[in-house]
Amino acid sequence: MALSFLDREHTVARPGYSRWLIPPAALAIHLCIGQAYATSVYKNALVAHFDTSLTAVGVIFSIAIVMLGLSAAVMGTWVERVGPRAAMFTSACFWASGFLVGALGIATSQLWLVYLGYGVIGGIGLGIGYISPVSTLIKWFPDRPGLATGMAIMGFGGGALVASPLSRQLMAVYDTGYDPSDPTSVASGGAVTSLFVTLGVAYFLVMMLGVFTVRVPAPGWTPPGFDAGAVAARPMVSTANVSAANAVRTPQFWFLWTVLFCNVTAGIGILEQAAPMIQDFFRDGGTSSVAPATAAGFVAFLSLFNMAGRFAWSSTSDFIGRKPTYVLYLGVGIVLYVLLATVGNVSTVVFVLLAAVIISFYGGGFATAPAYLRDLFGTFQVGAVHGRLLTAWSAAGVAGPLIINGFLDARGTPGELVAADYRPALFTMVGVLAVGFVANALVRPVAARFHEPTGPSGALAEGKV
Amino acid sequence: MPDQMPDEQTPQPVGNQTARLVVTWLVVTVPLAYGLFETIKGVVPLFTS
Repeated sequence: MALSFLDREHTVARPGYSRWLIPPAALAIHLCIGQAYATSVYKNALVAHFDTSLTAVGVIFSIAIVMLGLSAAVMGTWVERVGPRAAMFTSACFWASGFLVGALGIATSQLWLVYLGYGVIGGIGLGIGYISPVSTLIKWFPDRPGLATGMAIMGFGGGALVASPLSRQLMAVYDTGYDPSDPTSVASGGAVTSLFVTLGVAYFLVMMLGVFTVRVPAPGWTPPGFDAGAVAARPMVSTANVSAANAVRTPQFWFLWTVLFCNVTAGIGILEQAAPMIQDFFRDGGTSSVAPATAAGFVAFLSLFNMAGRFAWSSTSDFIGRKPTYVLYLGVGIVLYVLLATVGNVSTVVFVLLAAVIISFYGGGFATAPAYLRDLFGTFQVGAVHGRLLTAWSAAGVAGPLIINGFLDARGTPGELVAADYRPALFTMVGVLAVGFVANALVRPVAARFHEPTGPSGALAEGKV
Repeated sequence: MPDQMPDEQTPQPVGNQTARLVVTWLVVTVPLAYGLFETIKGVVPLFTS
């Protein structure tokens, strides 16, 4: 079989294979699929090209994120079975094809093709790609799972940082009339078509680096000096394994689902309205003291903290434990949100710092989740369990904007409001975080009846763990 | 390229991987550094205006 090199058995690492090759393999995938958060770069160009509304173009991104959650949930068990290389290869094919079909849709002025291409096909690539390296990283880094998954999921945040300026510069090359430094300049449809083709080909090649670099550790492999007993002796860390099918029957899974949902919903509350929010907080007599360029700088600043929080907080969780880390995200998050609502308009420095730490918790919540799942459900099907947990992200992606926009719409138009208009929405987010805090407090070790058998006929004995 | 190892044979240890480590990490860190640089340029107005 021409594609037999993708099989799990052909990806077992030979002795001495450096585990430090696995994080860049994972990053190669996540840096590419993280482009999903950079779609705003060509949004206006698509609106002009299709002569349609921002909402109709925004649907492209919404479909992609819904497909991310659905495909991660549905394909998680398949990803565990076939291994990371086949999953990464499949993800690369879907992600690149999504761009190419989307390019065809733009070139032929058929928006439905962009929905199908970037939204549906690309979205499936997003979901499979997001979970494809998680399980493998955790198995290579049993001593530092938070560090390992933090590195990969940081890449998802970093992908947008790379794609945004790169897309602007590429569109300027393909359309000489487009000025990337002028916010009012709009690229032609032809430039976005060329951009999609370029990104599709480039991302496929970079993702192949991940495909050919990733390996699974040989059964029974552990890093030198690793003491499994010491790790298992830590509170809330189990050596038992729970299948994905059983995991969703445990209260622990749904407590964690609630935790992730609340943490993401609260973060989106700021991210959704970041630019108009900072201008509204410092508005006096109809005029804001924060210029549009400064507001754009604030959005960029948040994206840095979103990315850094994924790595820093997830790595920290290896030392302080997963549950206390979420106590930090949710508990301190509550305090920061209250401060933002009450004293956030005292100075821009206070506002920016409060928002930045909140967003770092938002990113950290994503990155720490796989390690939390490993602690509770073991490594057996942790990628598949993670895929199911990501439906919380999809749900929060709907709930977060609904909450913040619902409150703000009742007050007026963002960009014309004042700080007090944000208080009802921010205090609602405090309530959302409080629900997550309680859910996290209720997490206990999983009952033994959900554990997989460890006898000679069990899946664990087949070296699939 | 993929490692193919016959089941009945003892797998051979991999050789020196320094070059591979350097190249693989460069492929992901160079674009990331570019993205960080461009983003930090965008952040500057937040602290200068």
